[in-house]
Amino acid sequence: MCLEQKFDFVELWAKKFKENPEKYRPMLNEFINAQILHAQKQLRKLPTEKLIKLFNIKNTDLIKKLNEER
Amino acid sequence: MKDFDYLVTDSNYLIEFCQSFCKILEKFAKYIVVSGFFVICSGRSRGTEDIDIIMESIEYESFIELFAELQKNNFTCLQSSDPREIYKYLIEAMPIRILREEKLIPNIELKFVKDVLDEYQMKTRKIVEFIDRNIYFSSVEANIAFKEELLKSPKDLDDAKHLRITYYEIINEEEIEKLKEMIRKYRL
Repeated sequence: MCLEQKFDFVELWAKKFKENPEKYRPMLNEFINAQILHAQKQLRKLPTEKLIKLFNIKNTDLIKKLNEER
Repeated sequence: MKDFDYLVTDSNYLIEFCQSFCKILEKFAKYIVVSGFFVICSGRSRGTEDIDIIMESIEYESFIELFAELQKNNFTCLQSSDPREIYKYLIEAMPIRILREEKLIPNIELKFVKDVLDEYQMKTRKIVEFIDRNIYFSSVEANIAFKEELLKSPKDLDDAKHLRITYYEIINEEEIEKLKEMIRKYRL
């Protein structure tokens, strides 16, 4: 069996995490926070009109706030 | 909130966001958190931008109170700021999206219980010891069954694999089969 077939990140990570959640949870938390932060930053670059379409925003108060913010 | 305020290692922003929402929601209705967020809380290394929550159907009067309390705590709804309109979405079995502090990500997708399968998940909801948070989730078996029988994308199958490894001592295979049968009956 070649290395590519043997390597399964999901399985490896799940086993490691299960063995020692206290050790790996902080690492996971940092990853999740960084991912959210990155996504929020990407959204900030978009014009309000695009955001409204992307998220199908219908709340007029929210649209007003988004427009004021930018 | 400044960009890095929530970069702490004892918790993560998603959990804090979900907990603060559920703390308000549980005063008014039973709920369950389902799917991706459950898997992430169980240690799966992947991102998500939304948290799926199913809640019991409640009367309009209770919903007004719930919505007022959510607004007091800086939660807003993407669809409208008028509770009458939002409630209409929910009773017509359409999900609504909830944000906090006008941040579009992360958000909560919230819907009312819609069928026997949702009711069953609500009845078998649990606070999961491994996750150690005061949040009610649908059972491990339900999450696996939905991912393997209904959703089936590569991401969902990887989620199911992660759950099977993490909870292998407590997983009830008969329960998973029962849920898959219900999914075939009510959702496929």
